[in-house]
Amino acid sequence: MVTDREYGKVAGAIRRAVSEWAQAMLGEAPDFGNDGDRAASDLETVVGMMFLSGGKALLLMVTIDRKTLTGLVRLMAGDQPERPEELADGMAEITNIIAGSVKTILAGSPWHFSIAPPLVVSGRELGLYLHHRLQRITVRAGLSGGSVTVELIAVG
Amino acid sequence: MHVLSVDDSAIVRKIIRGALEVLQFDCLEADSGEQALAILAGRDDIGLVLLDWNMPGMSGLEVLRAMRADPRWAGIPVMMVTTEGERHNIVRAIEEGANNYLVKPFVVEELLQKISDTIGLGDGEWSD
Repeated sequence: MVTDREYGKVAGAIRRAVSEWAQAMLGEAPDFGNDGDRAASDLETVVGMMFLSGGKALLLMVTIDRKTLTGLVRLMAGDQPERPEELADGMAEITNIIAGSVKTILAGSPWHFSIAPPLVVSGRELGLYLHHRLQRITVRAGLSGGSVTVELIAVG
Repeated sequence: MHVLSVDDSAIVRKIIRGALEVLQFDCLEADSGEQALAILAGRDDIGLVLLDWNMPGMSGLEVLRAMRADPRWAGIPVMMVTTEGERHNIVRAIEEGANNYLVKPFVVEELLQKISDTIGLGDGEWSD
């Protein structure tokens, strides 16, 4: 069971990781109070996932709609991603960077973990179903007019 | 001078390539540790290796060990560019022979400065 204190600590680590990435590589500060245009649910969604092993078995998921992700990858790389592979590569690296920063911030805590290669899935009306008893910590941030959602799910 | 950028992420290699153009270095790229060693084996003009840690297959640390064990490459400066930001990992990489270390996410100016530091360029060599 995740206590309120643990939730706050891990959510704070995720917020810090997202801030560090956004400020360093996008030149932008995320808005955790306003997580962008979440009504755009009909847009293609891209999800970066990473299974994490450590004191707990965890799944980290980063979810961004395709339009927002395209803008973020353009800011990171300097030009527009042309091919789906470039967008997927950008999503994988965003997932990798956020996971790496969260790992560093949580070093020494029960939530510390080792990172693994990310997986990327994309599609419209993407359904990801997780057992309702799995505990998840969710952080949403507004960036570049869109929304970035980071979830850390205790899967074991 | 040629700089070898080793990272499984194309977007990171692109960011690094852009930075190296600022420094007027020629950039070679490898998307795996195995490919990095193959490139090193075929050339003698590489003056710096920028090395990711976590890659599918051979890790950056394994590449670093292989380089330091081979007299052809033992003297080539290596800078780790990685998400592994914990102090014990930084110490480990330096002990294994890395000359510098940059944690992702980074700002490009920080990358430029660390590259300059690693190959012994003075301040301002690249900054006009």
